[in-house]
Amino acid sequence: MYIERMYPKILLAALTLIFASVFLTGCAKKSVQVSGETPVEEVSAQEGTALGEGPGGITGEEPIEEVAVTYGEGNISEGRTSAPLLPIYFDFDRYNIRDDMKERMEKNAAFLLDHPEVRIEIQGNCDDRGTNEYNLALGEKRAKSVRDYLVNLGIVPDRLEMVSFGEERPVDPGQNEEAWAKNRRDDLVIIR
Amino acid sequence: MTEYKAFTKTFFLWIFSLFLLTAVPEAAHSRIYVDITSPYFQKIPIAVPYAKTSPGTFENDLLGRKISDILSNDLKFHGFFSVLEPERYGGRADADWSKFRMNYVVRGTLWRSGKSVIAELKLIDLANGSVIEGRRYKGDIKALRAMAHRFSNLIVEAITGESGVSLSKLTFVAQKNRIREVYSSDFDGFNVKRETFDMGITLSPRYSPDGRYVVYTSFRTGKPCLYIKDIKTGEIHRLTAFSGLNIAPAWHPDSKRLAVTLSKDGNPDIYVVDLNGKIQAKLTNGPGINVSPTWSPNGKRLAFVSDRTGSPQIYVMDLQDGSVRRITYRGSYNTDPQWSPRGDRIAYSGRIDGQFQVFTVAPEGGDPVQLTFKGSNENPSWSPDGRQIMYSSTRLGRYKALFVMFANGTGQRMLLHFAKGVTTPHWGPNRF
Repeated sequence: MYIERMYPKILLAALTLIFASVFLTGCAKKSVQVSGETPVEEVSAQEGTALGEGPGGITGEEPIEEVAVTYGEGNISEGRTSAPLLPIYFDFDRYNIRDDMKERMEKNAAFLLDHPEVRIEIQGNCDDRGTNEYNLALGEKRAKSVRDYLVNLGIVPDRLEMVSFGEERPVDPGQNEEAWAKNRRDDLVIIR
Repeated sequence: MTEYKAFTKTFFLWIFSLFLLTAVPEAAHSRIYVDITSPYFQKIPIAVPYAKTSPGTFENDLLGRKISDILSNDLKFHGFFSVLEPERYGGRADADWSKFRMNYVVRGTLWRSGKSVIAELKLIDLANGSVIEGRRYKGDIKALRAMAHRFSNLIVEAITGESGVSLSKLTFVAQKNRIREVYSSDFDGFNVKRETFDMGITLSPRYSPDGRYVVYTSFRTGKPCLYIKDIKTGEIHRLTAFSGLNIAPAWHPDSKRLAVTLSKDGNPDIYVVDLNGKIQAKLTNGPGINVSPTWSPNGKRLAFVSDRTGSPQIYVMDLQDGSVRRITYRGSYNTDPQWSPRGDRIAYSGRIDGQFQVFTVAPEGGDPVQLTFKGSNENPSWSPDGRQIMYSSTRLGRYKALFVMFANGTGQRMLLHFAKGVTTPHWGPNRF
């Protein structure tokens, strides 16, 4: 894991991780695969047989309803981020995850943990002040911050692609703080 | 100098020059040049009367004026010629130049038949009436500009002994219909040509010093990879496609390798790659962003941008001992360094009062000089003769236009205003 220049944040990240795992294991009904390495079988044989009756103890059979896909192409939450994921905003010339973005990160992580089939591309963007090349590098750093944060929260790195668009794809072409703030953003785009 | 053959010279002059060449070979090269670097230098007075035309129709006369205008503008562009306004003498080739204290005159004759023209151009030294340079160009009417550029290049070399910019080209990215493609143009902003058709985002096009290639970043696959286009054949091949960033290419002066920024190992660092995209060296190793390299003219040093101290600043690396030194200390955002072809200055763009301005600083550091003040001015790029700096500016409005100025900040003028803004311009070598 690359946590360059984020040493003061390691402690914070670790605390968040502990908090997140406690929080998620406490609330989520499904098993939380924090490491993603050993899948835990949730259906326990005892419970199944305990209900008795029917062949092999099966009491009923019905087709599973396809869970309505609430995410996917076309559904945008903000910027270019696929709903229900939320984009992460940054300060000018910064690529650290702001305190007010940590709740979003946890929501994003929770969604990804609940939907292990989902792969995302983290797209780093910058406002159009500053120079194109530096902003491409800055966008890459922003994408990596979000990626590392999600990995810390238990998302398998293979599910997280990264790309930086620098200042080349502003969602708001305005030349004011409101527009710039919107453009300093990591989009989380579902690519399956 | 030795190519007098095609011209209607007197037999006598022919014999004479031949005699000079065979008897004293050095004599042909021992011309005394005007020292344009002297502090007492005054602009060189030159007249470019309208070219005579044959047949002398109204339409052809306009062509004759046009080639003279292009030549005049080319010469003025260099900054060390004072071109006599044709209105002052009616544009006539037989004006009395002594009245105007002219040193040189450029005489032109244009023959036209249908769409093809022959342009005969001569540079005459008024001190003794001798022809310093003469050329006869043949071609399509559309090649008139190229003919003027070629002859203006000869004039600059003949009078100053230095290479000018008349044969140089510019390359830049322009936005049209939400896509950003690479374009090129003549040094004067005319003759704009589209170079890429990637239907997406392109960035940082840069001509090789030998004028053979243009390298650029394109998102044609969805990720930023580096591509190289052979200018003659138009062939494009991918240079690097490592995971992450493949950006910010800077040609080594030998045209055989480039410094680029890759993030394949997780951090944006500067690498040297050859023309096959093979990594030859890794020059930086964090911490933080390392981007926008630019080589010193002798290839022994490299300037680049790093945010290792928390804000983007410009550093110079000595490639022989690997030492790195920060050279910008004013302001919290200094990027886009470009090393002058003369070696003595590095141009960059720095943030001041919320706007970006072009500065220059010595490669050893020291006091920077601010050159622009209006609007936001970014992406400086040096002319191949090191006398001028091109940059993008918002001083005319929202869309960035290309501007050019002399290295001391004087003579700021617009070069090109195109589509929905022009970014990352680069000034190619004087050899197209």
